Amino acid sequence: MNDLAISGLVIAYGGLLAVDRFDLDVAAGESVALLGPSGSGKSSVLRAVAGYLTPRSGTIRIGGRDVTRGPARDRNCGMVFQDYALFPHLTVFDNIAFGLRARRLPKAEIRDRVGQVLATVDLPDLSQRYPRELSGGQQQRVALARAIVVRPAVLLMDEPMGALDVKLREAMQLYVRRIQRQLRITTVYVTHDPAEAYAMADRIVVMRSGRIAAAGRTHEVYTEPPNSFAARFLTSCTLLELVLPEDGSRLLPSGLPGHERPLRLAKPLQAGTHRVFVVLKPDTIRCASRPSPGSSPGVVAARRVAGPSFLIAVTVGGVTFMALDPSGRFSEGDEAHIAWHPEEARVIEESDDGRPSTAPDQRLEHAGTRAGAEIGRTGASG
Amino acid sequence: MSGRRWKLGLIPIGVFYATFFIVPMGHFLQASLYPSIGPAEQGSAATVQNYVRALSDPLLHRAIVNTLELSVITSLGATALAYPIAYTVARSRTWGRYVFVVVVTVMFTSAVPRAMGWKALLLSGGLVSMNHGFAAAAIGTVHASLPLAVIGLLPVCEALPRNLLEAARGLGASSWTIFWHVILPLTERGVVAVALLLFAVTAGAFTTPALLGGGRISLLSVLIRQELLQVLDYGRGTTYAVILLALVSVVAVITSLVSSRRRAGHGPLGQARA
Repeated sequence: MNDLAISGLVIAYGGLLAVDRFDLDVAAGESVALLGPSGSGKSSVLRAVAGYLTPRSGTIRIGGRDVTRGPARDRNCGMVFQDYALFPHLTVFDNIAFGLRARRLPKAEIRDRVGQVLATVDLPDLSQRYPRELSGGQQQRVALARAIVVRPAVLLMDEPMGALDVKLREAMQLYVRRIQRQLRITTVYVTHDPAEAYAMADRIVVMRSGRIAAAGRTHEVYTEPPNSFAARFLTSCTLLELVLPEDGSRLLPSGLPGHERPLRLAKPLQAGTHRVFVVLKPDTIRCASRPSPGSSPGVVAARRVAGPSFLIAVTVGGVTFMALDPSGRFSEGDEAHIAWHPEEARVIEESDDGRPSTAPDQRLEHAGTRAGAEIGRTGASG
Repeated sequence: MSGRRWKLGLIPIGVFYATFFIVPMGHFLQASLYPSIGPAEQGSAATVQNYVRALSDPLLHRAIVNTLELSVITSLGATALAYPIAYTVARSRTWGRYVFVVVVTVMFTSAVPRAMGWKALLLSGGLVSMNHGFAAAAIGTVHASLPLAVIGLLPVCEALPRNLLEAARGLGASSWTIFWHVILPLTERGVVAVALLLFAVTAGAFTTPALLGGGRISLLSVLIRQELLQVLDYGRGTTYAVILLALVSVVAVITSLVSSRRRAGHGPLGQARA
């Protein structure tokens, strides 16, 4: 059974629609990340689940029970806030015990459970400290402990790493993820950082303007983003939008930047397709100082360290390509000739509002191999 | 340094206080040391005779007790009444603002018509016909202090982080628990400051208690006015004034000490309960 089931959720602030017909099912023990830019409605969804705001319509079920309009205190959600929201006047022990005392548990049990959870988050010796006496990472662990000690049906985390510096954030991601897996806590995790979503979630739901823009298993949305928004938001891939001839032909006689030879789409476009994109991963784009057949000349506009190599932005005409430069020989302002193979490109078809409609096995191919005759014909007319 | 520049800004208020508070208070202190030898005349030898006489006077004892009672009741009553108003105004974006305007408007009503209104309502022949002057005076001073209390508590309630209340609610706490264990401890410092302010203002209040008390209750402020303006016993009047100032200062210091000691300790949900 799903621990959390959201269907048809609509949230509005005054006349402003923040969340529009949002559906989400989270299975027991699963961790789902709501990922999106600020204003995409992801935090509103979380706050509706926690009971801090009442949706205009739709239902929220926790453990099968409809809680849509019920009070927050009856939902048994554990919430970790971005700024932790620890009670400044209470010690670590009392902060964590707050939810247990609200449930009127016996003192001995409260002491045991707080002790256990402090051990889980590796803070057994700090129970008498006040929040102001703790570092950011320690405060974050106290906030997590306070949320999980009540054994919540759903753990809600609202940009919990936002206030931590990068190094600590990476450590805390692994740490929180390990605890989440170990205790099999059903979790909804809100973030605007794709890397954090990859680290924290089994499944990623990308939100845009209050709607789901893309959703899928974590590695799938990364390797095969279903639409252009997901590809732009989740990856450093280069997206080229294809301008196809109006007559329905699938041929690109002059090719694309980086592959200036005739190309064509292997399959006919699906019904409902309005826009077609070619997606190129940085490691499939080769950069050279000298031109090669089919390559396009460009200028390196920026570069940054990406793991052991460099990620460079090469402007070709008006298009910016993100390419990998393992040797680090290109710097800003250099001329770079880029080239890529069509078989390494992915094709995304989508409707005007971003609904994926990619034909099965759709791909780019050379327009000079099997269908030479056809190319001759269309090429002549184009 | 920015610290020094900041201190320069204190000069105008410092000059104001020195001119209109410290210098007159110095005069009072000085005058209180010279016993009266006739109406508006004082002897030339400084003694503590005025204080010895005043402190052994049962009339003054009565006045001190009355003043303390009225100030404490007003301070606690007005703070308690103002707290929910300030909280509602701070939390509400819509009609809370109107409540605020209504409350503040009362402040701009002059003390005399306000007291007369209560008089018509409360005292003999009025709607409620209350014969106890003290209760009427207390109602009047609570009413007079309410706007000050609301204005004082408003920033205190506005500074309360909303997500702490949400965290408490999400953890399953009832409204009562949240008020008692989160809201009150977090606003304690501001509440104590406002209560002290009301205490000091009421201890020195004259018009409202005099009008509503019907002259029957003896308060320090009433006695001071009597001695200085009617009896013209400057020695006694200034002595009472110094005693009033000392009284307010002692209460302020004790309250601050108790309050900061409590905060330094474990607080209301302390380890003792764990």
